This record gives sequence, structure tokens and C-alpha cells, in this order.
Amino acid sequence: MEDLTGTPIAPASDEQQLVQIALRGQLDAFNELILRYQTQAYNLAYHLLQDEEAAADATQEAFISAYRALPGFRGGSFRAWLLRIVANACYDELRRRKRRPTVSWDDFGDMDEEANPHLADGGEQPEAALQRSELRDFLEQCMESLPPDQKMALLLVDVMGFAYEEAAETMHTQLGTVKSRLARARARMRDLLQTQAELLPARYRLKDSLMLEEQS
Amino acid sequence: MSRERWSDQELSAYLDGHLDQAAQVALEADLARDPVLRRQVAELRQTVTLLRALPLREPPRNFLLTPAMVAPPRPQRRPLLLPFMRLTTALAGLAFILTVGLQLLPNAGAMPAAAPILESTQAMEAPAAMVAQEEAPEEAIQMRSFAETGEPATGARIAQADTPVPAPATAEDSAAIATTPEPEPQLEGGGIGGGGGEPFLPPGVSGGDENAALTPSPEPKPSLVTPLPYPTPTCSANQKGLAPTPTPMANQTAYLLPPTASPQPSTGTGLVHEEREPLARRELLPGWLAPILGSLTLTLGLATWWLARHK
Repeated sequence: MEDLTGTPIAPASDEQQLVQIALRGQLDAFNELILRYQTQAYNLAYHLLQDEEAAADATQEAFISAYRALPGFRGGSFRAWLLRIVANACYDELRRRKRRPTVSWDDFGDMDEEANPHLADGGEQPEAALQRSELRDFLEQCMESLPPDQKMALLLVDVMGFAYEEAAETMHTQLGTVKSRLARARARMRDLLQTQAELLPARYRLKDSLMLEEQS
Repeated sequence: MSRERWSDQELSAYLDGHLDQAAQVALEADLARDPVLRRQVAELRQTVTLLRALPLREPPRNFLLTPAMVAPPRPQRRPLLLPFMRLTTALAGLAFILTVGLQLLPNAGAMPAAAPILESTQAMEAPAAMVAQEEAPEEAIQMRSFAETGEPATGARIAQADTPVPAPATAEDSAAIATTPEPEPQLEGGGIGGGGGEPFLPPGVSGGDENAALTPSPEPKPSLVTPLPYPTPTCSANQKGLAPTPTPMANQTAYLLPPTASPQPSTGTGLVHEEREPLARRELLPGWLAPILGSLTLTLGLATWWLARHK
């Protein structure tokens, strides 16, 4: 069983069992949980920090903090609890940057995303890979303009496939707040996609796809 | 217009199936008859579809934990330790500087280079001299009786020989005194002979006047260390700066000396009475204090530097 992003969803009982084993000091059990959620944790950190190295450091620190705070885990969604710790680590880093800014935020928009070797997918056709890369660049560029709270709601629900309740638990807020933030983020993204449609690959443009949909 | 009834939040919730049943029926009815609203919902759905197609980034590395990573953090050093160490170092350094400064002052420096050598001797002599002074009234009475009877001639000689004991002198000092003309030569004969018809008087006492022995003289009598026919080993020991061996007889003779001269060490200048004030200062600041404070300051400074470096 997989979620929308292809990440295998662990049965709750299995997850709770791993947590209990990790609580007895078995680090391997906790590392099993890390392997399941490290991609989501890293992507959340990357979208909040807009920097690969900082995102990796924040993710690592968050996992260490999570292991030490594991006795305080009161059940529920372990993924939500873990990503909340990641988000808190990112907010701490953002606050630290605000106190001591070293790099302009504008610099992050010029980063060469194609240099990431992890994006290479051996089984994907070059044209499809290029379109996916262009789509990701465009969406990420649009998401950068969102406030952090809206961006996080969009990431959790639409990109990572979290349920509203799980997203609310991760963001440590009310369900209605998640709905509101998500709706504003989606509307903002929709407007950006319409105004900057020429930057998107043709197959992803809203008007073209809607015309095709209406014709069919 | 039906599309104005629906907010983006309601349309968003509708796409996720989070709109309540009544609102969902009303919205679907509006969608059936309003193409603009239908297009609005289609654009929002397409946006969500694109976002769900957004590929996640692969992490640059695994974030697996190792036992070293999750080891309990080292206990934090108490934050006040470093300031405390700095303060202690500063105080020790200040005490060291003050001690060295006091020892180098001109008054304290009136003592020549031999002063440090003599300090140990003074430390040992001072208590004996003080005891001697305290015992002086009793022994003065006893010696007065001796003087009347003229019995303890031997004790008088020993006392004469031991007279310089509480007042050690340098070689030059002793030599100067030794060459001083004997003002009362009759004492020597009295001391040696011990008879001659007149009662025995202790050496240093002017002839026949026993009150002179009990009355402090403002200046030490050079005759106290006048060379005698018999050897005076105690005096030579003092010339070498060695501590004399206190003897009961030495204590007995202390009262015979002027109060300013008996416990005072000689400075080599011959003016013994000038040494009282520097002696008090040196007793307050013993010679070993400066090296101890210096070592303490150095040790504390190194420890503070190490703490600041490894903070």
C-alpha cells in the first residue's frame, strides 16, 4: 500500500511496534522509521528553508531530537509527530537567519536545480524527465511566494498526501485552519499557473488541458 | 450568479470531499447549470493534480542515526564557572603584585641582601625573645639576688657569651663591634675572676650599679659582644646566619638587654632600634608568600585559559 507520493504507508500497528522497540533502546527500529519518512522530512525542510544543505542539516538534527523525545510520543500518527519536529527545526533555522542574515532570499531563485544528481531516473525517458524537471522547477518557484504556513499546508496535503487531520496534527493547529490555509494556497497557485502558463510544459497548462477536457 | 455563493475554501473542501452533504448537493446543482463555476472548479482541480504530480526531491544522504549521535549530551559546564575563575585569577594576581610591591618598598628594602637569609633566624628568635621579656620580672628578681650573693658566675659567663644570640649580626657588624674600644674594661676582669672582693655582677652591667642591669638602655652596649678570653661559639654561629640553639640561660640574659636590642636582629648598620617597623612588616608578609601567590596566579590563569578555550 502506497500514498499519493509512492511512499509505502506502514500499518499503524507495525509503526507502533517499531516505536515501542525503539523506546527500549533499539536504534535499528528507529532507523527503520527514519528510512520510511526521511524523504518527506527532507522535502518539507527543503521547501521551508530553500537550501539543500540547510535542509539536510535540519532534517538530521530533527531526527536526533525526535529520538531523544521519543518517550514523549503519545501515540497517533508517528509521521505527523516526526514532521512536526522537522518543521520546528526549520522554523528555528529561519528565525536564526532572520536574526543573522547571511544570504539574500533572492539568491535561492537562481540555484541550478538540474545539478542534483538524485533527480536522474534511469527508467524515465529523457523528454519526460525534462518535463518533470521543468514542472518541478515551476511549481517550486510558485510555491516560494507562499507564506510558510500556506506552503506547509500545500506540501502536506497536496504534495505528500496527508489527510486534513494528520496535517493539522503536524502543523499543531485546528482542522479549520488547515482548510483555510490550504484553500488560499491552492487559489494562489492556480492564479500563478494561469498568469505564467507559458513557462509550463504544454501538457501541464491549465487552459490547454481544460480545452482538451471540454472537447472530450 | 451561483458561482458567487461559493468561496475558494468551499471549492477546495469540495475537491477533497470535506464539504458537508447539503453544501455538496447545492454546489453540484450549481455546477450543472453554471459553466463558469464549472471551469473555476476544473482549474482548481487541475492545480491540485499538478501539485500531486510534483516529484519529491531525493535526500542527499541517509539520515540514519548512530549511537554516537544519540549519546547523552555532555553535562554543560556551569555558566558561572568561567567568570568565577577569571575573578579568582585577577584577585590572586593582585595579591601577588601587592605582596611583591610591599617587599620591594624602600622601607622594607632597608634590609640589605642578607635580609631574606636572616628571616628564618628572626622567626625562630622572636618567640624566644618575647618569652624572655615576659619572664623578665621574675628572673630580674632572681638575678638581683644572684648579684647580691655573687654565686652564679658560670651562668653569668654563659649569659655573657650568649648575649648576642637574640641579636644576630652580620660579619661586618660583629667585626665593627669587636674593634670598638671597651668602655668598661673592668667588667671583663669581674666576669673572669668572679671575685675580687666586690659582688659579682653580670657582664654588661656597669660596675657595682645593679639597677643599671634592670634599666633599659636606649642603645645596646657594645661591651655585650666584647671579645672575651674564652671562645664565643654562639656569636660565630650568628655571624654565619645560623639559628642559635635557644638555651634557658639565653632566656635569662634577655632581660639584661635593652628591650629594643634584645629581640631585634641586626641589619649590619649597627642601628638596631630602626629595625622594629620593617620587622613587623616582614612578619606580616613572610618570604614564601610571593612565590606561593605567583604560582597560584599562574595555575589559575592557565586553568581559566583552558576553560575559555574549551567552552
